[in-house]
Amino acid sequence: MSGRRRGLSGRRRVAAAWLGLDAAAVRGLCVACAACVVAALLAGCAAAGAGPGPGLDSVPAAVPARVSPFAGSRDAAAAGRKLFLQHCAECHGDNARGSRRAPAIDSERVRQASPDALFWFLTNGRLAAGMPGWSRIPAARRWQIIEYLQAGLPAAH
Amino acid sequence: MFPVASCPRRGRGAWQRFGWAFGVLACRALRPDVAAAQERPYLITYDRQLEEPGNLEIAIDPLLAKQRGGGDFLASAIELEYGVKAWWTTELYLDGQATSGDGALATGWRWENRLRPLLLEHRVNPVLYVEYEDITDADKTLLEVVGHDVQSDHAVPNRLTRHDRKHELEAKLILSSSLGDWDLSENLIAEKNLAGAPWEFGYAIGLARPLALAARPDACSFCRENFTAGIEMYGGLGDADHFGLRDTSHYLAPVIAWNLPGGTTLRLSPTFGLNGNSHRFLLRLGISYELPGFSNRLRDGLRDGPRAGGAP
Repeated sequence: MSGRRRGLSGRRRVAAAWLGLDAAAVRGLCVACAACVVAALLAGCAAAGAGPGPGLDSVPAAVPARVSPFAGSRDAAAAGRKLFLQHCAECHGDNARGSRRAPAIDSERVRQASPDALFWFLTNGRLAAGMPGWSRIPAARRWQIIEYLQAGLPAAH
Repeated sequence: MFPVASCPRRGRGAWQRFGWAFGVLACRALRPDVAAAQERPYLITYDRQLEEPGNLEIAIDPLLAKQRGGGDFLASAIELEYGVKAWWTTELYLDGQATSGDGALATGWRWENRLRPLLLEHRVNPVLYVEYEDITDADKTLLEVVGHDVQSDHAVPNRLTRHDRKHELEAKLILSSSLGDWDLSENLIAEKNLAGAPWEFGYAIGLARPLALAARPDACSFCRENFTAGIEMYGGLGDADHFGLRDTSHYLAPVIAWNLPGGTTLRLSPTFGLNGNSHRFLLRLGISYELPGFSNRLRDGLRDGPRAGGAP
């Protein structure tokens, strides 16, 4: 193994000896790290250039028009409360009043926003700012969360 | 059939540790006070879903395999998955296996990274995957099937394979789409043994859908909204010198996932070999537990130190 380490330059040879790795392992780790850095730079550049503003300001002016299948349904809002606690409360707080990790969304702005815009924002998220996209949950459940937020229920809890 | 009675003492220890870990996670699953995860059902295929930033997921994915000619085995990976950013997830795997009549051993580790280069939802959403593996030839986790991987590779006794270490670099292009409420994901895999072997290729495809689309207003554990079902297919595509389906193995696997309200996800996947080079049958299980806000809690714990008990 020490013979193979001879192919490495000084600092890498010391690191390899300390970690008990051979030359192939060190080379592999270096390549993997380099690939991650390149990919992270690409993603970081995309993040820096994404969207015109924070929060709902990042929603494009012309989002596809959609109609909530649950408009005005109290059951849907109650289901939305359950989903909110499962997926959103960790960052936005149990009552949607925000936390260190994410802003308050129990606000007049959210209640007055168009459901289309909220649906778009929930689906796409804002990855650059740490808000995940929620396309992983079915569209019906995203609408239930929107019903809950727009019904003004967070303040009631 | 499996090695509890027949394998050396070391093997029994591995089984006991696995049992303890499984029991602890299963008990945690019954607690309703932690956020629920909405995890992919797949055990092999990756979709565009990344770990939420600051969250840590701990998972065990045991694989029970029927080996032609004897030597059935249990292989497992312990996974620690952390969301660095909303567009970057990193994961550490610790692999091990126990073979009937042979013994149990740790077989190495893997470090993977997944990155989303496009930050908005598109018809097809790409994710870049880079992994470094330091594993021995005794590794039987079958986390990916590439090149000319065949079932007879796993018939070699551990004493002959445990010292042959492989340093491999693996790259995947993950493509993931929503077709209505179905998820369709395709993975193209390229793997390189850094000792100089040619590039090896493989694929994985998955299709899945929740059993119920809308949620019920009341809390529930055993209801359709908490289940996702689907199917996976994966296999090798030869290597750079001999690309194609010749001397490759392929698998078809129905999958079902149960997302419990306590943040735990259970997965089950009976897997069927599709040709003579494949294992006839594999049973994959998965249990994962998500710790939301792990980084914040760790930071708070380090800053505040241990707190004295008593009334607030």
